[in-house]
Amino acid sequence: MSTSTDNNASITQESGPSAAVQDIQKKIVVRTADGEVFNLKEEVAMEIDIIKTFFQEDSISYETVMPLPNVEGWEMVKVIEYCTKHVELKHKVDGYKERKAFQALFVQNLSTKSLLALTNTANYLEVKYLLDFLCQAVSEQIKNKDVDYVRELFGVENDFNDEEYEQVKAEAPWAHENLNNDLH
Amino acid sequence: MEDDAETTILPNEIICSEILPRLPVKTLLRFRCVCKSWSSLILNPGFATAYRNLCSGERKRSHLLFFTCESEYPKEQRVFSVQLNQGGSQRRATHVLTLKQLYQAQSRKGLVCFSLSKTSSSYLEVLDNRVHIFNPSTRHVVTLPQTSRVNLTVYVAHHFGFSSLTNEYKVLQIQRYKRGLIFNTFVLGTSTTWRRVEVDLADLPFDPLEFKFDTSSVSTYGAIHWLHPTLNIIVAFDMNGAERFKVVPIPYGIDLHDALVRLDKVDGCLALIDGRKQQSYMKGLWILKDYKNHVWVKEDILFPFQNDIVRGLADLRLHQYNMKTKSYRLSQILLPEWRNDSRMLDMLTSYDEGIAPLR
Repeated sequence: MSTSTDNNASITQESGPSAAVQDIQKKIVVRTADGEVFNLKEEVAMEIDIIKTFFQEDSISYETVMPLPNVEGWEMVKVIEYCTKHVELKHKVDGYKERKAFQALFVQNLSTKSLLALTNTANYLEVKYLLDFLCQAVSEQIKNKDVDYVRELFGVENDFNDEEYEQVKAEAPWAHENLNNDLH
Repeated sequence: MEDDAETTILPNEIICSEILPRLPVKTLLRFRCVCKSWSSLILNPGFATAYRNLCSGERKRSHLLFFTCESEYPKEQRVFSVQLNQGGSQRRATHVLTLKQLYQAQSRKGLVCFSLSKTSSSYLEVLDNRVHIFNPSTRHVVTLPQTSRVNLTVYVAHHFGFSSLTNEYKVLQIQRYKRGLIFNTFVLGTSTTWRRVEVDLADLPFDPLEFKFDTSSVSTYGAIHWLHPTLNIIVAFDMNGAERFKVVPIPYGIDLHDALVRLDKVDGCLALIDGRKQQSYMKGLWILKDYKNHVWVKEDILFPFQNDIVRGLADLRLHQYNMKTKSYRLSQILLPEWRNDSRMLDMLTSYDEGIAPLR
């Protein structure tokens, strides 16, 4: 426990349980690939399935620092941000608008490459709802892009020869036109 | 920091089962050209099912299908599609199909079945009265084979259904001729010809020769449903496996002779819409919540006029009502440049975007 909350506890013992609950709430500690250490509130940490599974082992105590070698520090920050909001909104009756506003801000300054990295991380950490959201965000970003862009983005090799490519293209030539003209 | 992130290679599984099925159909058809494995995945029927499941609820891309028609003979039916659930005050319509005669449309799970409307000149003739199945999202169309018409045909009716048990689209054809009835079915992707269904006409709980099968139907739970005003019941033809007729009773107190009562579908359930309420937009609604046990539930809801087009010479406007936000919205439909001289518009049907293959 930190010293500042100790003082509060002695003065405000009769006033409501909130301060006391915060003191008792356990923290889980993880270390990312770049050496950064994060203290997560237990309820947030339990949203991340790979962490939840790790600490459910009898032999592992909460004192253990869990290594996450496939996760970068900045990614962990974003994951914690999303899961914390998700937990917060769980207790709200009508959080629809707030969730939408939060989601818009969450991806606002992320480049497509960063979005992909974060998607990979959400998959690795096993946070289903974050993975769903990020995949939806990726699809929004690429839906008006052309074939070359997508190949480069996902690192996919073109195994069509020119003739085969033209053949497939000819089956729906309209799909290759007006890529930015659609109103949606 | 973020910008130094090396190029992430997303696992193929994530791309194929989480990202691709979230894309609009136009994008998917374009991305077929990315590589061979993407091309075959996108055309795979299993992918179409996953697509339908993922793009449900809020993520459905609902569209409206309408047509313009030349007033002079020959009557060509130009079919356009416009997306519904998007923001903005304008809707760009795309031309997706042209038909040589006037058809009526029935929409199920992303596919549209075109059968000749009674006003079409060759309705009862042998000349080209074939049925067309159309996917408005991919613009693919298949034409079902001709069936031979019996002498003295009174009417030919087609009803389109989907069986979620077998993931199959089926067309039921009912030919009424002077002496009796012929039932044929066609299963998309499987059938090569129409298959005659043996129906023991004497064994039905209603007199099929007295019933008009060419009235509009509602398809749900793998069965086609009609109102039977005389007996005050709903008649259903089960397309799932056991192809036979059955009866669905209606709630007590409803009189189907009332012309304002009609059959519809709300949230996948059969619904009886009673238009007797005072205000024109306020309707009484009975929903068959439990199909198996025939349990009807009454609701008084504001009927959503989601697809109300105002026809006009220079004014192509779409009125929409959103049940969630309880608000009305007016938007302008933009036809492609070459259709600037707007003729009369007529509604066909609505559909949800899907990538179901036709063969």
